Amino acid sequence: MKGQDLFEAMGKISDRYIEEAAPDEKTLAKNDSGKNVINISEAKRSSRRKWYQNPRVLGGLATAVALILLTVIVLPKVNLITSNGAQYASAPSHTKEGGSYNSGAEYKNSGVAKEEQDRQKSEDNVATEKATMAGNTKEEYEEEIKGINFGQYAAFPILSNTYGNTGTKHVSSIACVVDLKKEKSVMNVSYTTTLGQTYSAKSSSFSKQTLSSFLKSTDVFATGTNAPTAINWSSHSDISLSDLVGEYQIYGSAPVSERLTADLTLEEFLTDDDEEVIILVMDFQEDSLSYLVKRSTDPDVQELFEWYHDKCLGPP
Amino acid sequence: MEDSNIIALFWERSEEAIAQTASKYGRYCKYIADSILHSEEDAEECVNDTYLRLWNSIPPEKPILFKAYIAKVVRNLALNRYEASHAQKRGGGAVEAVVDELDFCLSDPSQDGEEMENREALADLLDRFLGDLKPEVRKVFVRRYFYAASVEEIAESYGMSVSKVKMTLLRTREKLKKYLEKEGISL
Repeated sequence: MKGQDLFEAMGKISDRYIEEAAPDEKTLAKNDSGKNVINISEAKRSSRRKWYQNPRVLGGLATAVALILLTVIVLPKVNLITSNGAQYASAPSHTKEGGSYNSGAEYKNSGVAKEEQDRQKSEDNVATEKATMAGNTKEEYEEEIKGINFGQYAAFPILSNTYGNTGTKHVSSIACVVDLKKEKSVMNVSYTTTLGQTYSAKSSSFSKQTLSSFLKSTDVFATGTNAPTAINWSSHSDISLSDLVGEYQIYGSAPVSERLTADLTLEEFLTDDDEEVIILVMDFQEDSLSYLVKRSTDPDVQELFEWYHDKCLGPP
Repeated sequence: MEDSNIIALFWERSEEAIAQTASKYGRYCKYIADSILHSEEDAEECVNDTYLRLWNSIPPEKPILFKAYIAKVVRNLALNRYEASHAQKRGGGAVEAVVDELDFCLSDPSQDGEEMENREALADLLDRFLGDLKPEVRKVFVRRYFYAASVEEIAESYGMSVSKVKMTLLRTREKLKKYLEKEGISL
């Protein structure tokens, strides 16, 4: 006698006990796919399917075909296209061939594509022009830019300006650093008021609780479907928020909403130089949320720095 | 439509009987099949098997409690299908979890002696045992071991905490074990 026998014997208990414990309509509704056989002919057919009529087999075949097509045809052609025309491979590649901004070191990009190198050169030229216009020498400007790793970039406003907390209603933007590879590694680094003041998220009670609750309430991260339609920073929005959410899923990490409550100090984050990070800068308007997203390996992360520097701290 | 009218349609060999059964009990059948099979496609096929089985068994059968009759049919069919598909790979599934829990109720689960006789007696003993339980405890027990519902679902259905459901099931299993030992099952 085994538990299996007992389980089978349960199938012979009194009808009244079965009816008594029957699930209610609410429970049944959860399980309902809405399909009902309506005549005996169909019941006969459906209950005696051939293998090729089995939805599971057909589903498996369809999935296999789709995967083959995806692998052979679609994936090699997928690129993310920025609004200013530059293209970047969608797959993160920094660990093997992508560049990274290391603390105090110049930008290295051993495996980067020629187009990107050309683009980097072009940006360097632009940077030189801007530096000259701002009254700095090219060397001074480059020294400033190249000395900034991603963590420094994010931390720059904190190090430069630390004011008091004025509450949330004046907040116009938030910079948020997201580490894709670590399970607990989300933090918002700074926020800026409509007056242009930038505050350290670390030292403010606003930082973790409010950002987290805001994102949860807007559900932007949870589904990726409530992304705002008005993108004020369209020139920077080369990765959509839904793409970002997709990246999380690809990395197999915890849900974003959980990450947003993760407790990681700025120091802990900055000492880990080797992780790829995404920076998400959000701009809160009265009735919309704008954002831009960059990878630490993006060649134009410097452009983002410049923008943020201009917006939050004034011209360099 | 009343159950008696549906049964009458079966007796008249009207295919409307299937439509009415599906309309009234389709979700119920699906729920039972899905609890055991945990597969949308298998559950749907099992429900269709159930309609066919009802069609073939009524007449001559004339169930008094049609809903429970259907439940038994779909449960048996689902178990057969489940056993067929899991013959080579046991362990880890929802049914295994339920069966493992019931193993606890038997002093020596591996014993084979007089098994058939015991099986016949088991259903009667279970019926008597269930009759002695408080209705709320019985519902939890039947929901778990007849319908193979998850503990979480039972908790939600009856407004209980998960831990309370687990505790109720544990105590009832202990009581059943003593009851079966007393009645000479699997000694």
